[in-house]
Amino acid sequence: MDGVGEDNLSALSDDLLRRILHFVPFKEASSTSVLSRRWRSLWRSSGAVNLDVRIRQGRLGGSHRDAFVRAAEAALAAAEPPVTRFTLRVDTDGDESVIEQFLHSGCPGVATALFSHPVALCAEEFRIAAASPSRREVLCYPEVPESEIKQPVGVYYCFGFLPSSSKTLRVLDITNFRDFFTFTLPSTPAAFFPRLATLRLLMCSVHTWELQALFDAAPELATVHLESVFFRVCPLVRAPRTYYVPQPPGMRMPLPFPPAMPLPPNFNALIRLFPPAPQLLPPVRPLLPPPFFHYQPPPPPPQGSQAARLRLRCPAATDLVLELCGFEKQQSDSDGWAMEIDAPRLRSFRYKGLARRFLLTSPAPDMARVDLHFLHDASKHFLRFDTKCKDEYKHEMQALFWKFVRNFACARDLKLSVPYLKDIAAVGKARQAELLCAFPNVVRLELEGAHSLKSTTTAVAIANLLHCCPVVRDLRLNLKSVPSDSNMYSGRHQHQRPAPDNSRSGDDYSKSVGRFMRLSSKPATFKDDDSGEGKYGEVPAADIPGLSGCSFACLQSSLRRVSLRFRLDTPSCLGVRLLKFFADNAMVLEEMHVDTGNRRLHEHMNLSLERWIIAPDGSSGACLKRKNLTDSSWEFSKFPRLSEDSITTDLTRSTTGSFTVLPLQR
Amino acid sequence: MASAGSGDEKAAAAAMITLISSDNEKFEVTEATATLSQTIRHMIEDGCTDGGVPLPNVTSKILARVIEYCKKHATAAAGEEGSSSSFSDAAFLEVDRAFLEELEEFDDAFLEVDRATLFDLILAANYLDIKGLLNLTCQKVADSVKGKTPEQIREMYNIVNDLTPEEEAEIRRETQWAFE
Repeated sequence: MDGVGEDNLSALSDDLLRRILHFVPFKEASSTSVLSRRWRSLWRSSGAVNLDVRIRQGRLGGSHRDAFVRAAEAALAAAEPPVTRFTLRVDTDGDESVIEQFLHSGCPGVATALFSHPVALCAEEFRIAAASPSRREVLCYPEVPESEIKQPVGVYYCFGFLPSSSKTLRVLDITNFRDFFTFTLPSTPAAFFPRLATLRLLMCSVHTWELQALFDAAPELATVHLESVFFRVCPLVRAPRTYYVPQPPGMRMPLPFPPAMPLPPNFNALIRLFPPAPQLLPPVRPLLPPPFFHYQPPPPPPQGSQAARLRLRCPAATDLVLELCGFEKQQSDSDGWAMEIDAPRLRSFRYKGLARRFLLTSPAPDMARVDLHFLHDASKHFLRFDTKCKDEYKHEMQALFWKFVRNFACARDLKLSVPYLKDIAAVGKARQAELLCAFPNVVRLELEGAHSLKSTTTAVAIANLLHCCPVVRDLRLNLKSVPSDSNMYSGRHQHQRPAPDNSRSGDDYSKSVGRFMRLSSKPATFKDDDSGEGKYGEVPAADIPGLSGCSFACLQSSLRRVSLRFRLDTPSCLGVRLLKFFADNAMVLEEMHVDTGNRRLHEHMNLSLERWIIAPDGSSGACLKRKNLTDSSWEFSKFPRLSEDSITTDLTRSTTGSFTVLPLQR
Repeated sequence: MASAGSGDEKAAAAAMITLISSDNEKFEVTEATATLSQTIRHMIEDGCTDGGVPLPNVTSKILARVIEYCKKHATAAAGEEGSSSSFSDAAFLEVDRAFLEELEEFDDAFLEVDRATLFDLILAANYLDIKGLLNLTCQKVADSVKGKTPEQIREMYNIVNDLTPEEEAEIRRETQWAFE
């Protein structure tokens, strides 16, 4: 754009300036009215009201709050419709109680006043977030192991601040709030949110039946992202009836609600048990739909030792994320809870949490992506060493894992992350028949987990999964290093995070550097002929118990790409042996990507790659065709016994029978 | 890379579009990359892209950046499509799940430009109708006025105040709450 290179906002059209103002917090946006004549009323038509407020610890007076509410209401009143975006972001330099006080106190409370505003009720995007430094610390502190939410979270506790129906709402995004649906959802599953497509809850507590009612009322809700959500179950009142709360006089009844039911005889007692927050009821805006009670019968009490079960039905969800969610246990002594999800249209699913009983009722016939990240259950860690319970614990872990993953038998892209690879290994025919299941559609398999040097069962776990995935084309293995179990328990940090990320670990880096220095100090290391002289060039032991000698359908006909990430500890470590295993046995292999630690130091790996793959006695199934040191790629042929000439003349064989080894691109 | 789906790559290679910047530089891009721009998508649909698409409003410097953005995001879009409809293995395999994070990093790095370039990117994104890029760049400008007084904003962006002192006082009275 010629002539626009100036450092000048004014060169942009009014439409573009409005688009910029769409993202500007409300005070700054409205203060642009004094910039110049042109800017005078631009902000009013930006289509958004972004209420940002930062509460300072010392300034939590009523006047501060009132000033904010006045300003916010003025901004909402001045905004020209349509306002598509409504956001409220409350920040503080104090702790969360400051936010709670700010939102909760006053009459009406800040939240009630703003969320029930007609402009907010008509927005397409409704985003609210409350954040304090303490919360941010929890969210970002790297040393704290990831764990599921164990108790209610969310600062603002209030009945029913969300609109109970909205024809416009498309995106609902809530961070750090709790119990926001209570008493607002209608009892009949009707499309009260006909356009709602995205729901994102982070650090929130919700009642499961409220969430369920929302799912039922939103027929287009395709994306559901629940992260660190605490599900509550305890019903408020055990009476499956619907009735209105007595309304303040002068309230206009909106239409699409069920008729009022007669109050039950014990209504007063119920109200005494669960009184609505007094300051929230009286001066309600005329447009606010009346809050009404929706009592749900409690879930059937757990029978015997049966654990609590979270049931969610997401009829329209195609993309579901459940990360680090917690559940209000019905029994204090129950050891974990089960999850039952009904999402017939699911295409993409991500789970992060403990391996638990999980049931996907009516799975979709073709699921694209499934990402299951199982966390280490620190509370049961001691069982690994308890000689009595050890086997039982192992069996239970295996069963939980396999029963969880078999729900996703129709996935095409499967990513599995487990604390210890050996924990998922089903050893022995009987056990395999009992646990393993087929993943007939998986074309891309990613497996990540810790592997201890002494363990031989890791290979069994890999073999199990290769057996299960007969058509996998792209295999990614990320073997993380952990010290052997006995040492592991002593380090608290390692014990809680058994799978440190190789790419970030300074420890790995220094080891890698050290190894590299040792290698480069040898004069001959950069000459390929002598690369095998160093310790890491030694020929590894060829066999992998559990893997070698087995036949796998995927190796015969489908596996084309293998990515291996492991830490190079010894020349006979599992990673190196796997490298050789795939080089020898994957018949249609085209590419191997290898990463042994640090990206910039993959050279040390390349020095000995040739020796790893080709056994000196010629027994190996591959031979080197070409190597390119500039991009560190190595091309091998699968037909070592043919001379080089015959390979090049036989085109079909040479194209299908060779593969390339490359450093892994991250 | 000799990946599994060289056939698809060839098919995509056949559908190349030539974009011509205002200073007559030519850029060859795949159709998937180009159609991130609604403007170009419509041109392709109308079949008027033979011999190149002249973009008289966009300089080669800016166009190169825009194409950089589109290339990155076209891969992501391919993944999205792949997950919602029948997909080719090639497209499927290329999509990495870490890609979304990478995409965010890319966007952050992409925005590390001087203001003149940023405004040119906004104009180009608007002209080419690339919604993601437009939102990204507008958000960046919006972030830059956060916490600034009108005087600071005027100074930052060379905005000439043509309001009389009386008018300004009146506006300040009207929206007094904004200045508290």
